[in-house]
Amino acid sequence: MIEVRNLTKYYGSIRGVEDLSLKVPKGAVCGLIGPNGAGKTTTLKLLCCLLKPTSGEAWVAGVSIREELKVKKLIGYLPESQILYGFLTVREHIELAGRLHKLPRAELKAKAKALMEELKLSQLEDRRCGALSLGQRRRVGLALALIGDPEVLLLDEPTSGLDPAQRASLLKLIKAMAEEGRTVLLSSHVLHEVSEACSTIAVLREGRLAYHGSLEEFRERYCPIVEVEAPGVEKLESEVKGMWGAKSVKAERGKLTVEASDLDAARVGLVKLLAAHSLPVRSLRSPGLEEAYLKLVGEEGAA
Amino acid sequence: MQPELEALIWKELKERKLAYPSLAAVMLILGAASVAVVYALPEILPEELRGMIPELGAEDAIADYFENTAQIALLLIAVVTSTSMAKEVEKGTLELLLAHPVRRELVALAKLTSSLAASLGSLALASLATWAYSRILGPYPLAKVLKAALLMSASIAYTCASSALLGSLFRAQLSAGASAAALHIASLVAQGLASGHWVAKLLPHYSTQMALAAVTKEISLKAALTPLAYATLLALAALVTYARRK
Repeated sequence: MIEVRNLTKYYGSIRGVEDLSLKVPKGAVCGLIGPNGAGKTTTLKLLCCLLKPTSGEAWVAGVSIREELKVKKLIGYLPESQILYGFLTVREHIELAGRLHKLPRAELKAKAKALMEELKLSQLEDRRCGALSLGQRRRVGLALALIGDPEVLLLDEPTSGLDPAQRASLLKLIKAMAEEGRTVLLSSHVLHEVSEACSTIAVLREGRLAYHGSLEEFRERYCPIVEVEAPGVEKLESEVKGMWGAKSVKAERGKLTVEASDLDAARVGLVKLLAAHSLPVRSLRSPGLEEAYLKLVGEEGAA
Repeated sequence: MQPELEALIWKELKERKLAYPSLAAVMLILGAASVAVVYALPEILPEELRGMIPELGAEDAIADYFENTAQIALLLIAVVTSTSMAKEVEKGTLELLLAHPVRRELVALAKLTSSLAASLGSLALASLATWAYSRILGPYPLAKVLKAALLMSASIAYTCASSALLGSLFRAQLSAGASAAALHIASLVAQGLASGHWVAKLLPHYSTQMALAAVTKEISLKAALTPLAYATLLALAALVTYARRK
C-alpha cells in the first residue's frame, strides 16, 4: 500500500506539491490526474525517492521514503520520459536492471525471458534500445519496472506513445498486476483510461489534492447527471422536474439530461418512466469522468 | 565486489566501448610516433643539419612518449572522465539507474573506476609497446620505463579524480569536458612554472614532472604520494557531490 501524509515539495520558491495526503490500499489501482504542472510527476518521484520532500512523510509498502534503498527494492517506476541506454539491447537492459536488484544470475535470466514474453519483447531481445519505437521503449520501461518483482508500481503516463491495441493490452496488464496484489499508482492525461483501469483517483490542482476517492463518487459529486436517449423522450421534461431531487432537466430532441441529487434513483426512475410511456430506451448514461474533471479543475486543466 | 557495482562497471565499459579503445590507440600512437621520429630523424634532416643535433636514442624516444602522454593523453582522460559523469545527468539516464536499489555513490564509483582502469590499462599497454618498439634504437632498461609509468599512473589517478569531481558539478557534458581540460592545462602550466622550486612538490602534477625525469635520472616513487593524496581526496569529493546532486 501507499500512504502519503502532508507531503510537500518545493523547488526553491516553486511549489511542486503541498500538503498532499492520500492512501492507496494494497492491490488497488489509483489514477493520479491533473493538469500539466499539477504535481503528478513530483508525487511519483517523491515516492520512488528520486526527490527528497521538503516536509511531510510517505510510506511505500510500509517503508518510509526516507529509507531510500529499502523503498527502491519494493517499487517499480516507469518514468514519463522513456529514456533508455541506446547502446544496450533489450535483454541487456532488462538484465542490467535485474543485476541492480541483486537477482541471482539464473533467476535473472529466467525472469527476463518471462517478462520479455509477457510484454511481447521476445522478438526484440537482441535489438538495441536506441532502435526501438516509442511504444517498444515503453514496454521495455515497464519490463525494467517489473524485473525486481515490486509490491508497488509507480507509472508515469504509462500509455503515452502507445497505439490503441497496445494501450488496451497495457491497461489489461495493469489490472492483472493489481489482481496479483500489487499496488499501482499511475498518472495519466487520458481520463477514459483512468476510468477503465483505476478503482480510485486522486486529482491534483496546482500541487494540492483537489479530490481523492472512488470514480463513482467523483462523477456524482462533480457531475451528477443522467442522460437518457429515447425517441420522444423530450415530452417527459415537465413530468421529470422535481422527481428524484432533480435540480435541472434539459430536453433536446430524443434526449433528456437530468441533474439529480440521487443518481441511482434517477436512473431507475427514468427507466420505469420510459417503460410506462412505452418509449424504447436507446441509451442511459452518466456522463464520464471528463465532465467531472473539467468542473473540478476548470478549463485550464482540459486533458 | 558488490553485484550492482559490477553491473554498473559493465555498463560503463559497454557505453565507452569506443572511447576507451580510442584512448589506448592514441597512447599507442604517441609511443610509436615518438620512436619513429627519433628513428627517422637522421634520414629526414638535411645533411648539413645532421651534425648539429646530438645523436638521439631510445631514452629520448621514451622521454618524448611520456611528455606527449602528459600533454595529450592526460587531457583526453580528463575529458572522457568528466563527460561520462555529466552525460548521465544531461541525458536523463541517471534517473533510470536511481529508480533501482542502487546507492548514488556507486554510480559515480563505477564511472571513476572504469575510467581509471581503462586509462591505467592503456598506459601499461602503450608503455610496454613503446619500450619494445624503442629497441630498434638500442637497449633501454624496462625497469626505468615501468618506474616512469608508475609515476605517471599517479598523475592519471589525480586527473581521473579531479575530472570526476568537475563532471559531477556540471549538468552538461560540454561544460564538464571544457572545465576538466582547462584544469588539466592550468595544472600542467603551474607545475612547469614551479619546477625547481619546493612548491612543485606540493602540486598535483609533481608525479608527471618526476615521470619525465625518471627516464633519465634515478627518481624515488615517493613523488607519487602527493598526487595520490590529491586523487583520494578528490575522488571522495566526487562521490559525495554526485550522490548529493539533484
